[in-house]
Amino acid sequence: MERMKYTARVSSVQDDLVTIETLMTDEGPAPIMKNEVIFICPARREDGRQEKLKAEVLRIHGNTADAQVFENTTGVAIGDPVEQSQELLSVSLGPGLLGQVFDGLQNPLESLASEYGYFLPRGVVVDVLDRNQKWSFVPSVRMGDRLLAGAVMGTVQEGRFSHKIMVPFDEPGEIEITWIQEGNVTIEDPVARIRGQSGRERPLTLVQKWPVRRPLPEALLDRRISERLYPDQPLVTTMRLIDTFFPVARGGTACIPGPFGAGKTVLQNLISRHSAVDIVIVVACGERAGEVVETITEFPKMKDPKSGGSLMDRTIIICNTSSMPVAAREASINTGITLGEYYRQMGYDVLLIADSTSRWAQAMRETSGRMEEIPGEEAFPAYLDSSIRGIYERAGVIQTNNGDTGSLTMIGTVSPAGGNFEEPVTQSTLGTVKTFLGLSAERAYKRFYPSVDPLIFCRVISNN
Amino acid sequence: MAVGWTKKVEDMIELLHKGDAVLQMMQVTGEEGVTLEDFVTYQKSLFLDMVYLQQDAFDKVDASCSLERQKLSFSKVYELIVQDYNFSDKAQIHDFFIRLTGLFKNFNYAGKDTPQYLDLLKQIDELAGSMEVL
Repeated sequence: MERMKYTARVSSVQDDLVTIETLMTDEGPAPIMKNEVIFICPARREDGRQEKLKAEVLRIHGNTADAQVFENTTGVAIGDPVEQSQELLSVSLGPGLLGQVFDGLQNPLESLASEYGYFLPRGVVVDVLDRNQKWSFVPSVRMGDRLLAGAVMGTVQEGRFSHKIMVPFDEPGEIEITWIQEGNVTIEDPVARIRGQSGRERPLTLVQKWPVRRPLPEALLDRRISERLYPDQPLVTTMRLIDTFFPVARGGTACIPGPFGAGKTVLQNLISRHSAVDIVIVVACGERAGEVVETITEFPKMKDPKSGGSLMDRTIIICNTSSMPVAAREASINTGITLGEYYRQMGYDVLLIADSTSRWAQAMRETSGRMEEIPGEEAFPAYLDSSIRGIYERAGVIQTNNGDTGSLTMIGTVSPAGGNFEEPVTQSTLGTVKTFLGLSAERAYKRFYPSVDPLIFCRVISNN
Repeated sequence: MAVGWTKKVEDMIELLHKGDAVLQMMQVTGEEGVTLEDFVTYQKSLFLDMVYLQQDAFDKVDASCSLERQKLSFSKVYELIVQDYNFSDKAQIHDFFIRLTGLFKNFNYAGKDTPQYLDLLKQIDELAGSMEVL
């Protein structure tokens, strides 16, 4: 990583919430922005390694800011130097994402484990995508062509998928291709050069970055380059109860609330296995590690009913289990959605399974509590409802620049304590999603599968 | 899906509600405390639950039911449920629905258009026909 200048220092530490104070530079106090990624650099370890703890700025007061640290903060002291990245919390989008297992901040867990062992040290950074792998880039445009943000410049073959390489989604105006070349390239090699409206020329590689908290097609929709379509087709899950009685729309949203042990994870796994979609993203958010291990070990062995290949070839797993830092859990769903939006923009049907949104909300509650925000019902932040809506609103059907249609369907589980559907996370989720698949412990104990109770649906909907 | 599909689904949800209401009555009064008609309603809702709402995740065929097969199964289940039967007592009702459920579950396990599939479909029709009100 490029050496950055220390521009702030730690002024207080409270668990994984750290307050930093920006330092005066020659040009005045160093600027800081909300959701900016910073790195806290505690004293060097005995082995000489400098740890850099990744954190995200949540709130700014003058020249101080509160940041949530995505790692254990043991040993962080007042006065420790802080590096500012001047970038929002982002993910890398490019070929090689499929089949990977990431944590909530898009660290590839397999590469981390092979480099550092199964007990991951804190503050280490590895490449998200393989720098050495070569991809065969085939351009679909010529020099001199003028394109808008999100337009396809060419493709590489990622497994059985044609991975489209697109003009950066935040490109403000029309760009001109000044150079483009076919060939075998790594993700770091330039494949094209573009000239923007400012007249400045710059190279493009196969990879681009996107901030996770900002919907990827936001600017494209605002400028009417892409169009949001009404989800009017059913997503075939091949489950009779769902498809016939409570269908989920392709590009729609659904939730699976149910008490512990009612079979939420099993149902989600089977939906992800049999649904008629191209790509599946599983976000294991705060669940027990054993459940994710099952997915990681079973998916590669399972056959994809569509292609006959391994199910893992079309799957991305975002794994932020209950044994991992809480702060990263909150980001994990956004990471998964951003990856889903990226493949949707290529015209694929993507299914995002989030297990479980309750634990994600609990992570948000923990952070909110530490920031001493005014609590709402059951101590969840008052903005819980809008946060949940903000997440589910990123699902949908999009018609892309070249007329392809892609969809992102979101199915989230909710784990209400004691099966109480009146608690705030279930209630807020119910107000947002279009399909409700309530599980009952009674049916699960009778070994009924799926344990979706058709009568719960009617009771809950009529109460609301 | 098909003409009249939504109405049929609504009818089946209505049946599940009625079946649940009869079950709650029976929990207080026992089977003897409900009429033959109510008992048939309960058995029909149980049949729908056992053969259509539930799937066997461990069975290669039943774990994943294609949309085409769902249409066929649902039409068959609907036809069997709306049919009027000629029952004389509760034991006969009980016995009939147990046999029908068994046959339909095996039908769910049978691969499409296999000899077993066609044979089970025939057996289901024969059993239903044997009790039909003419």
